[in-house]
Amino acid sequence: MTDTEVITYIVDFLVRKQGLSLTEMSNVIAAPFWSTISRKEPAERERLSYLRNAFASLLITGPFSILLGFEGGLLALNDRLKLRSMVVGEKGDMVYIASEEAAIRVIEPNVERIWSPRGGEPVIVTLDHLHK
Amino acid sequence: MAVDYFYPEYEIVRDPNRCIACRVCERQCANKVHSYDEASGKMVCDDAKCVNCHRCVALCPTRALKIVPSGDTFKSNSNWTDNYMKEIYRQANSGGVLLSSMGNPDNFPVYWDKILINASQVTNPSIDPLREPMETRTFLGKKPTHVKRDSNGRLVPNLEPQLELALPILFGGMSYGAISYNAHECLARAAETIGTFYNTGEGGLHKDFYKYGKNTIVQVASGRFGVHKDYLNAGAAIEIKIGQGAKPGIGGHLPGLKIVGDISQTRMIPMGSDAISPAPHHDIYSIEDLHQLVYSLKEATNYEKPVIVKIAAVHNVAAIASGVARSGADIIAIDGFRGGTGAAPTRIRDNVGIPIELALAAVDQRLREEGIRGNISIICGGSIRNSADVVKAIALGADAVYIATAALLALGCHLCRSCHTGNCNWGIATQKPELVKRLNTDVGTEHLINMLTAWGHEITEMMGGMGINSIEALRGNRLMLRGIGLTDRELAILGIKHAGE
Repeated sequence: MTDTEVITYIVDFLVRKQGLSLTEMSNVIAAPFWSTISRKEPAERERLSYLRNAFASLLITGPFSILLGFEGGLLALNDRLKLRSMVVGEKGDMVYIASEEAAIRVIEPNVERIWSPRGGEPVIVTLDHLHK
Repeated sequence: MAVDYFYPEYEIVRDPNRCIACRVCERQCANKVHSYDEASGKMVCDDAKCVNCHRCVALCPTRALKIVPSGDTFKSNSNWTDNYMKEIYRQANSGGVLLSSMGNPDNFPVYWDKILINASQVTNPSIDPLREPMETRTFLGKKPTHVKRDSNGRLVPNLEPQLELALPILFGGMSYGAISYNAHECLARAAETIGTFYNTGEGGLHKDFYKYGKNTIVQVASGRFGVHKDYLNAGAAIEIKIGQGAKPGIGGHLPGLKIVGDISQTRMIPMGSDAISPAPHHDIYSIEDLHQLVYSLKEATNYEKPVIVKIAAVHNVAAIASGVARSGADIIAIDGFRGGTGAAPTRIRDNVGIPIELALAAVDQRLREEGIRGNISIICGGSIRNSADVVKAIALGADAVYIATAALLALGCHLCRSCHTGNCNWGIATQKPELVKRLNTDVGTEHLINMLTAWGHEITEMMGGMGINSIEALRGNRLMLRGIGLTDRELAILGIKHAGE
């Protein structure tokens, strides 16, 4: 299997079979470091520790930058060390995701907001007309 | 000379120009090898008593001593080796079962040495553990099959009791009795400092060591020595010992000579009586019976502690492990046939059981195929000798490893394999107060901590090389391993490819 196929199966297992949210799934496959978890508020610490421990085998430590399409939206996620690059831009109700800012500026020179999500921080984009 | 006379196996070579007749060697040798000859003013020695423990060599201030094989041999024969011949002479004389100590020393394949570890180049970058976070924290215990949520949709933490380890390495079971009070204290203190666990073995827990309870695994073996409610509740986990790699299928025997003072109290048996553990647990004749004992122990400890079931690596280990995984146990410990012992019948130690590498791979594979790998964590032991063995074990599917012989080496053991004589010159496998006090507990503790710290550094270096920054991403990651010089069958059982593939 390719890495992409493996990640797809993991996401399917966590989201469809286990019923985790996309954010929870991201907290499993790109889990925060224990040192980061230890600095969180108690409730969040407990939630992140639980997810990391319960699904320990599904942590993905290699470099990745993935886009996951689902009905009504998509999710963008980097590995937790952010070894791969990913930039997100916005203009109006449009969202742009690319490896480099330059690519976004070629498509939309007047991009209004542009940022690099942290490693392991999911960016979830949903279609307004489906989620209003 | 009688038929059972053997020329000494070792010869003590003393350099007369260096020896100053300070008599340190004489004082240090519990086997009474060295003595001072008043008439000549020189040290003399009886090589026949030497077990080659190197105590005298290590403490000689002028480096006047070394121990070499004596070189005496019978007529060379590949079938009737010197060893087999001597064993017959010995048995012809005594009529007894031959006893040995420590792990199987014979020339069986060591699969760890035929497995190579991967490293990243270019596409998946390696990680520098000195610059980037590198995680070795491991949790042992059952993983939930499904998540639960409360009425607000929040996750309910439904994890069963877990053991948290800073490093995936625990000290394996060695009883107070088999090893000394000082050795136990070193193991307990090192486990506490490092953030891992030591294991009481089947000898009970000395009252002085209850304070290390949160870093202690208490064992329940077939003799049930030293087992009572406070003991069960004193530890962080309970281990049911079904079998031991060095002597699968048989029980244990601690001679009455060693049942002295505190040991008698800790084991709850009379002074001087032999401590004989039966071969089976007399209340376990099936997986269903094991289930009952697992839940009896959980009931006795309010379902707050994980239960470990330790078995020896034997031919049907995968099927047995599958049963154990369904018994309610939280952790299975598998002990390979090279594992150590304080005393075992030689024939059994050297001929019964299988290598841990094959057993571990077979068990992990079987549990995955049956979809029950998450039911149970795997600890493997039975000769883990260094950090590379640890990395290979985890990549083959272990959650953590037990080390025992390696820990004793760190305390000064020189593997003379004479534990059963009770004359350990290093103060480890003895109960003689004058020998026990030779093991300084501050120094011993520090040596254990140093060894684990060093292994920790090496493990994170190897993980970083593979581009893996968390130990759980290494577990069962057999693509990180390649075999060298192994047959297709061996590779298939190990579930790894050959180097170059």
